[in-house]
Amino acid sequence: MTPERHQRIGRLFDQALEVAPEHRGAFLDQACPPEAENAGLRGEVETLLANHIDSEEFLSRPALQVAAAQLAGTEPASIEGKQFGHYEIVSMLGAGGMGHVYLATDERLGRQVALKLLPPHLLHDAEHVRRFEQEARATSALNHPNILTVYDVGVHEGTPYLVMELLEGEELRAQLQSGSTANPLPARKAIDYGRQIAAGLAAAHEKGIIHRDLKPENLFVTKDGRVKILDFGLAKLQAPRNASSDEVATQKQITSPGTLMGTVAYMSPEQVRGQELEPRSDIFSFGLILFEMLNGKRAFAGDSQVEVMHAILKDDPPELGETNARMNPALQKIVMRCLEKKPERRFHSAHDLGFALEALTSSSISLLDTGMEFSATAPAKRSKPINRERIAWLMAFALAIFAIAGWGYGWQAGNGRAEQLAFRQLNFRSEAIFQACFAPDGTTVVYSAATDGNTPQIFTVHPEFPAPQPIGARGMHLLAVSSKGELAVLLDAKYIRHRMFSGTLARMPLVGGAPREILEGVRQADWSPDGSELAIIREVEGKDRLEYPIGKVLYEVSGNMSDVRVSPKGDRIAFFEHPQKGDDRGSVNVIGLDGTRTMLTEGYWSERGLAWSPDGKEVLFSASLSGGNYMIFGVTLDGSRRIADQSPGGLILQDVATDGRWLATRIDFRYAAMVHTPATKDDRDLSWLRTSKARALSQDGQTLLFSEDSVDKNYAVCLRKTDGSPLVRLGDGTPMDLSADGKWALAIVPSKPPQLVVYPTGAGETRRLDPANIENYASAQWFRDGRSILIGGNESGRGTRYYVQDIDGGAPRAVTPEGTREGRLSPDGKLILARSSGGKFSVYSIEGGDARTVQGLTDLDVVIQWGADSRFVFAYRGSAIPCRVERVNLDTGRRELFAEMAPANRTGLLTVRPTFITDDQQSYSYTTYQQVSSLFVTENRE
Amino acid sequence: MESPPTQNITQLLVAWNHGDQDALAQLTPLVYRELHRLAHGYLAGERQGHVLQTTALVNEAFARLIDWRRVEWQNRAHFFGVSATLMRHILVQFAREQHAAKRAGERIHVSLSEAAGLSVKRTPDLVALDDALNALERLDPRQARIVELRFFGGLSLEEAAEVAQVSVSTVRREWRIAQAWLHQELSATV
Repeated sequence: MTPERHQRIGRLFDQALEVAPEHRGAFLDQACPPEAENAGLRGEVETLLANHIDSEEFLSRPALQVAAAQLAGTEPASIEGKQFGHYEIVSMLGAGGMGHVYLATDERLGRQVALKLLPPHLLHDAEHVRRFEQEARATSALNHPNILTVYDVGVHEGTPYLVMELLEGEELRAQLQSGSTANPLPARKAIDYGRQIAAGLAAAHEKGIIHRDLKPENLFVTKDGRVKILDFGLAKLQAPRNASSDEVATQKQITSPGTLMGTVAYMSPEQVRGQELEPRSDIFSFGLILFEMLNGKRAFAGDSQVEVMHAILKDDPPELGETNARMNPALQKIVMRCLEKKPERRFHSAHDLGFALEALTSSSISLLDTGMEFSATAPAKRSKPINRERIAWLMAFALAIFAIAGWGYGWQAGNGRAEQLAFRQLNFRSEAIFQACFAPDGTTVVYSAATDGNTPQIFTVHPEFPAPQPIGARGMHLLAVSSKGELAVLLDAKYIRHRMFSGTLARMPLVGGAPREILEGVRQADWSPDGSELAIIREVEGKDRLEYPIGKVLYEVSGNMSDVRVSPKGDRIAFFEHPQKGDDRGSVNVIGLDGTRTMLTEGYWSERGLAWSPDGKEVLFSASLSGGNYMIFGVTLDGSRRIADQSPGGLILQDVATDGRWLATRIDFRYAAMVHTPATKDDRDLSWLRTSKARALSQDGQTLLFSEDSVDKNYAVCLRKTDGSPLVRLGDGTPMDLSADGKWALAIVPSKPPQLVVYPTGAGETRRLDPANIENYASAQWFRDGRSILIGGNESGRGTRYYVQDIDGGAPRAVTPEGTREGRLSPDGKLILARSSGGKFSVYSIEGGDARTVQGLTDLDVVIQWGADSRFVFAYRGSAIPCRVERVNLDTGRRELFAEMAPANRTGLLTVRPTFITDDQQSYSYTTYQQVSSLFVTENRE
Repeated sequence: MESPPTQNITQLLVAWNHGDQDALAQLTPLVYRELHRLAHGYLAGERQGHVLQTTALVNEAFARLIDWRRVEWQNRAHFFGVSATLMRHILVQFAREQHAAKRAGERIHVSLSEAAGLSVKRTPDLVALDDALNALERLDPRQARIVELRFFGGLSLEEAAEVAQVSVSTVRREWRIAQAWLHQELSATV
């Protein structure tokens, strides 16, 4: 339309409005004669006239009021930018009858959180305020990976608020029935979700909290497949065994008898009747959800609420098998047992239910997916004797025996609270302690520590004379002390990380005598009870091996194992398994001498130090659940866990004496991300919190990509300029590389399964790469063109190798043989320098062909990266401080010093790890680790 | 914190009119605050059925933001014009953010068990309106300007006439046409 025509239409519209409506037709007939240039004119004027009638109210209210109305409709609290404690509201996430949820920034930790507020008009509604507070109270009492985490609760200017973890994903509802379309989940998924829900419920019930409103809308599935139970708004605190009067009062306030609360479709029969609820009411609701996940339809349906309620009370649930012929009878039994009308006929606890599902997961899941029948009562007929399956059956057996285990008695509020222990400090100097053990006299303590830099040395100390005496040479690290007083040590121990060293295993008498070498390349060891044999952990061809006795492989993993400890009877070995190499998150495991492994407890952020209780019934270990302090936990062989110590500051368990006393350390540590630029004399510390690790620099040396591990379970990818301007948090994960143009950061998110993610450093969209068959990622590096990446990782059950993947899609393509590691891509994108399975460096061509061995690099070298011309590499050897970085010419093998890297402050400095050098060789980054330990022994415990 | 003196807002408006983007950054929160204050009042009014009270509140909000009594007489028209453009800029931006927040809300989700209890009033979508207004500007800049002054600037017919330097009857006529035309545009796109 032209402006002229618009004006003409406008004029006609205006004139027509001046004419009485009944004469407008005639007016338009006359005003718009049917001539060619008038084609469509009349119609357009008429349309506009029609819109005038509609538009009388339109735009009558000013935009400010319109916006305010919209705001009032969607965001009654209207508080963007407002502070609640140290949380600042960013934007609204959603609104519901029970609360409004906002995206907020936790300014103290710099993380994003979800902040929930009661809508203002409900603030004066006592019932709603009580429910809100109830949710806060119930949820914050719970700390479990399958329950939405509440970080904080507070009141700001009379408005109560709840700070929760921010979840990304969708409600379980979204994966189930939509409208009338049945949409069953694959059995494997349904069982996995069920197992997770049961775990969360068990944790809640253990705390005396009943959910009472479990339904698919209250179950949230995060992007990495973790199920979180939400909305404890209707939850009820059961009176614990020794409840205080306050708690009982709370309970009375919340429910008036006969009141129906919760959603009818997922109610238990006792809930429909308005009777007293108990944990097994949640199990009924769980059964309905499990049924719906497997079947795609609800077990009890009806056209009205009354019909549904009647069905819940009277009808037998339909058989799962009717609609899903592939359904496993064992699974059917589990569902039906949850749906028993009488609570006492259901699973006794969510814990039991979880075990039952767990057993299915390990034993029969492949059958579920292939549709084969599998009898739950005839395990002996199964032909493949896989350890995992045997474990599942052992667990089922254990379940039958320990049906009412003392599950988590240490957790109950006011009941079984970790006892207060009296500690005596043994060391009074600045040193980093790596391992400490009681000598056979039960009093003398042997420990290895570094007093200066990171070279360990073994010392003995007696509590009555706390002056450490060195034994053995520098570079010797303690692994274990036998009942006969013999030390298992590492000679020439090289510091790896955490408390981990690698060296030559040797045995040495505590009193007098030279070490006797046993085996090279060992990381950890422990003695058999009689002191004759050793259990060891060592890395062979890229995999960690547990051997006992030496030479007999009990277990092998592609991640890491640590803290091997033989039970007092010598029949089992306890250890940590860390699925990601170099990462100390993981699980506590026990393995029998026949290789039967049981995972006792999992989900720890960081695990350090493990020992058996003197009676061999419990494994004590120190771990951190949230990245905060280390606590000491005890877990029995049937998986019952307790908190054995949670002293402020946290303790790392070193050893347990035969009379039950502990030896423990408290550490103070810090990782720092450092940058050297030609502009300043001292290197700059760009750290955020206390676990900042440098990764890569932009080529101008102005921007550092680094990780901060203290922020989130999946860590944080951060960017900060060397001018000290505020940092930018890109997202979860461990950063791997910055693209040549500085616009994209590659990161590995250590979720389950791990993900490789490309974050934009400025505008752009986050991308997640298809892992195809890759099970674990070890590294990722950009090609200079920013189109492809070099991935280090492994497929299930295979060794690590390198793959090239196009970021626009396509599966990763293997470019190096299995067993290759520490791969570095040349800037021209043609070559990969990597260690072969034999440990030698070779150059592999991306295009294939024979590998070329390189000059000048030895097994001891750590290659940082290639030089800009793709002819030399930067490398360093060992962990000496300062770190001497050399340029190594790959053709001639010639080495020349590039830089000696270390920060100005070297107190307790254990590692300096160079991470990146710019093409112009003017700037570089590195990570430092500093640590100081205190050593304690508990006073007599019994 | 209380509102900064109006003089301050005036200076910011002038600075923004001269292309100072920092001034916009300082003005936006002031408008947002009024918006939030209004939303509260709006809710209270809705609940008690006091729609008239809401209108008073809107006028108050405008007065707080753009207090013409303090503006020198010869600058008044110019000042109204600038503030209407500013309100359009900020309110449309606000609406865009709301859209984005809603979209984000679909992905990032936190415990919400019941449906929203508050109904959203049927109101023009500011983002779509802004687009339509841009189209109208190409056909008839004066009509677009009058809509900007009245709808975004909150001006009366008389005030809009003063700013646009046309008669009140012209404003009334142009407003009527623009109103119908925009309504038609928005209905067609929905």
